Parts: sequence; C-alpha cells; structure tokens
Amino acid sequence: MKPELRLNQDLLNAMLPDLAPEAEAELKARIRRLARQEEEKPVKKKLSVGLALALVMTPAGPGGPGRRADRREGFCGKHPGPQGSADPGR
Amino acid sequence: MLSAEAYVKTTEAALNGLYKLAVSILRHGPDAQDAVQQALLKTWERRTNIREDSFKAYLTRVVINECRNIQRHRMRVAPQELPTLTAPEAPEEHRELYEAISALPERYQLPIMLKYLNGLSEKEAASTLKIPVTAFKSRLHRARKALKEQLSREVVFE
Repeated sequence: MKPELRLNQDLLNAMLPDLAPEAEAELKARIRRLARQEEEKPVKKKLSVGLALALVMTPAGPGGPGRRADRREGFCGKHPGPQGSADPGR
Repeated sequence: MLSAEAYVKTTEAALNGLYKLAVSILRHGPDAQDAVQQALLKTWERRTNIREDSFKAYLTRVVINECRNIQRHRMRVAPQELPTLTAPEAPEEHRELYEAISALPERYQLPIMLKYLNGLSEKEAASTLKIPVTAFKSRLHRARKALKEQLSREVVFE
C-alpha cells in the first residue's frame, strides 16, 4: 500500500515559495497608496466645483457689476484696484 | 462598484496566494511579482465595473492573464532562454508533488491550483477560467486522476 499524501492548501502553500517580505511590503504599500488617493478625491472635487462657481460669479473685468456693487457698499479693500493710486507721488 | 476598503482587504489577503499561483505558471519569482503587480493596477483602474462578491475571482483571472502576457513576451523576445527558467526551490518532501503538478497541462494544473491553493469555490474557479462549472469539475476530476497515477504516494484531496 502507498503512503498517504494529503493535498490541501497548507501543502501547496509549503510547496511554492513565499513572496519575499520586502516585496510583499512594497506591494501592500502600493495598494494602500491607491486606496488613499480614492479617499482624497472627493475633497479635490469639492474644491474644483467651488472654484468653478467662483469663476462663474466673478465679473469678467474692472467696471463690471460686481465692482460697481462693491463701490455702492463702500468697499475699501487693501488693494488699490485699477483706479486707485499705488504710486504715492501721484 | 468596488470600494477602496474592499479592494485593500481582498488584495492584501490574496497577495501571497496570487504570487504562488503566478510562480506555478511562470516558474520565475521576479516575473510572477510583475504579473501580480500589473494585475493589482489593472483591477484598481477597472474597479468601478467590478462587483465586490466576484472580485477575488476577477483578480485571479487578471493575474492569470498577466502571466500569459509575460509568457507571450518571453516567446517574442528571447525564446532561446526558456529552457534556462528554473523551478522554484520546493522543499525536498514536496518535490515529487511539485514535479507532478508542473507536468500537468495548464488546463488541468490551473483547476488544482485555484481550488486547493487559492481556495476558490468551484463556481468562482469556473468563473475565473471562464468555463461552465461542469467543465471545471470535469477538468478537476481528470487532474486528480492524473496526479494519483503519477505520484508514488496515495493522494487524498482535502
């Protein structure tokens, strides 16, 4: 009678070489990096939507409706703007 | 869609088994590692189209496809180097089994590996090989029969 051999997952695992620990760590790090990118994506999306809205709502250039509204409300920002004088000699 | 969490959990748990499957096909550690790495990237890129319950079978399928791509590349680039590929260092007590499994044609070798190494169910393994479950069972039966004939020891499949 032939001696018995139990073919199962443990035996096949032992038969084939393991992934080197450093290679395994590298692959796992890569997997986690990919997953982290996914988690960060929604934040980027919100920023880009916000940016798009800001671009749509901002007047195209000086003298636009937004700027007139600023003047009506007595806007006095730190920036002199195109009409303001940045040159003290003027 | 496959969540990032499910992707990490499944891939990390299956990593070593997938590498061993790739080694059994390619018989070359660095190539096997490349095949697994490529499969990880490809499945990540396609994750929006993958169902969570079939991900393990899908990932295994992609690893097998990557192994075939590497085999095709070897044939194109350096067919004369093929005989120099060496078998991985199997412990002495498993050498006979390793050689018997390696001697099987791939259509019989893969069912043994998918079921007994990677722990896939018959349904998952059949889906991985893109064959009906009945065909998978038939191949598995023939593979077991061939192994029993080749090995000097009585084989019990668990």
